[in-house]
Amino acid sequence: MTTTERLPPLAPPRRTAGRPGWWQRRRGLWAPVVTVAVILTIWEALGRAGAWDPLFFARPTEIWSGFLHLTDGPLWSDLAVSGQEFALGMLIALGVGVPVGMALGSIRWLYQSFDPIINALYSTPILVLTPLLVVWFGLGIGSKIANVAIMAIFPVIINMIEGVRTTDPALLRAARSFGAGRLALYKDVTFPAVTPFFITAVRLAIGKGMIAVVVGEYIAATEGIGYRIRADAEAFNTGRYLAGVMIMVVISVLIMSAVKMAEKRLTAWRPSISE
Amino acid sequence: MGRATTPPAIEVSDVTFSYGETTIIDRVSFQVEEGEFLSLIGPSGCGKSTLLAMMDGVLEPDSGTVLVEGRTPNTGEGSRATVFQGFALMPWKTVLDNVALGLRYKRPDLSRTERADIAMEYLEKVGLASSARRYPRHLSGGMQQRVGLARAFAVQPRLLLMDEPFGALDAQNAEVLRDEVQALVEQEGRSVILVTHNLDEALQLSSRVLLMSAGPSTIRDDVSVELPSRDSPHYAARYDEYRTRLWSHLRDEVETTRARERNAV
Ligand SMILES: Nc1ncnc2c1ncn2[C@@H]1O[C@H](COP(=O)(O)OP(=O)(O)O)[C@@H](O)[C@H]1O
Ligand SMILES: [Mg+2]
Repeated sequence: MTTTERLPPLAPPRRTAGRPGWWQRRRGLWAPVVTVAVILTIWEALGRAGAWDPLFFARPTEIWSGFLHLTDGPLWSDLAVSGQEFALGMLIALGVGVPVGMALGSIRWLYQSFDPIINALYSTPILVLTPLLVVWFGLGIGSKIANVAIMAIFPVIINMIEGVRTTDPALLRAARSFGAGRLALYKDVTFPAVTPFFITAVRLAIGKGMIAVVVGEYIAATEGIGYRIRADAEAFNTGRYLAGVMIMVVISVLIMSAVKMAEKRLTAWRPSISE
Repeated sequence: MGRATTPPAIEVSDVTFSYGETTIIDRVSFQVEEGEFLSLIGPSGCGKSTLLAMMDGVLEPDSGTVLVEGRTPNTGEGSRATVFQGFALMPWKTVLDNVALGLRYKRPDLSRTERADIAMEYLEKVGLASSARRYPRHLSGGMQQRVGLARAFAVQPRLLLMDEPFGALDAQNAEVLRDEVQALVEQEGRSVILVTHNLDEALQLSSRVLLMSAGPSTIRDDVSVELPSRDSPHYAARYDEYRTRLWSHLRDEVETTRARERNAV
């Protein structure tokens, strides 16, 4: 016995208009995994269907067994040799390139005298010197270290010059005005200002240095990952050969992520791209 | 007779300065007494910043002398601090470390924490204590220049040099900051040189205005500003008098500069 009419209950909100589900939110996570899985499956299937001559290309399972072969055999000593060549070469490239680049960037007449030469050398494919370096330093790690050093040093020098030369003169002036001496100017202004350039230099040097190691070992060596890749390729051991290539890819990715992390720490004061 | 007098805060005698072939400053002389607030005004490019750099010991005159408290200024010595138009804050240092920058070099006798304490005190004076741990890029222009001011005042300079400190700020921020600078100067009691191209700023803040001519610069006018208090009935008339006098000269110089720029093209 009511006079007021009851309103029907409101319809519940429709699910589709609500929060996106887990699958939608985490697409960045699973989509690449699914993509890779699909590619590997098709690759394997095509291989098994006889789409190519096994001498010329390998299926993912063959690459995997090649990888197991490598880890069982020479991989670790090869990596140790290549790693040593790479590390020592980089040490020379950075140890010489950073001070040379900073000196060239700070001293006008030095810069004017050497800049054209350095740019010319930077744009030359220096790898053509590898045979000469083998003659000079032998088949062992010496020629590879030299290879890495001369490949990696030019991006270091060029970036350090750029960093020093683009250091904001207003900041140098301000520090001087507040009483900074020569050393303090370097420590408090020039070094922090060139840090981003240094990191770019390291990144480029790593790329060049890895190419230098592999090519150096490829051309003339008796051990090392580059040598192993070439030997497997020549023996038509395609699975192992491609496994070696994959290992190189993984190592580059790992090194580059380490550089990225270091960059984040060293240049926390800079705006990141997402800001 | 014979009583030793303290030397003037600044003594510029017959100073000439050139960049290469171009004479920027041509035999300029003037003195600034201790406690004076002097504005340097002149057309842009006439050499105001150059002159300020010589007072700061960053540049040396080609001929003539610049003395600060009776001595040739050297960077790293003396009780001076500069506020820059572009703020010149170290982007990799926090606000607090930026304010402590001058103390780092000028007060090596203090420990790190003591310097941080002083820096914090001056950050509080400019109302930025809560931003101490932030980086300059997170601050607006007005806030960045407050940091610049705190950095300068933190070394408790007897001479404060300011090179168009409000030039990069919008009109409202500039207005507010001018009042703060005035308060800080009154509180800390320093000799101040303010470079500006803004006549009203010069008249509002300073006790004396030096007007420089278009380069090669000479002193075109030297005016002691004595204004009655702002609520006095005579304030407006006196202010206009000063402004008209300075502006008539300044306009000439600005026009000279413009004519030269036109011919140069
Ligand atoms: N490092 C420099 N080299 C050559 N010319 C300069 C240099 N710095 C300034 N100048 C020139 O000197 C003149 C005076 O400069 P500045 O003192 O900065 O003028 P203001 O501060 O009055 O605008 C300007 O014409 C400027 O172009
Ligand atoms: Mg200037």
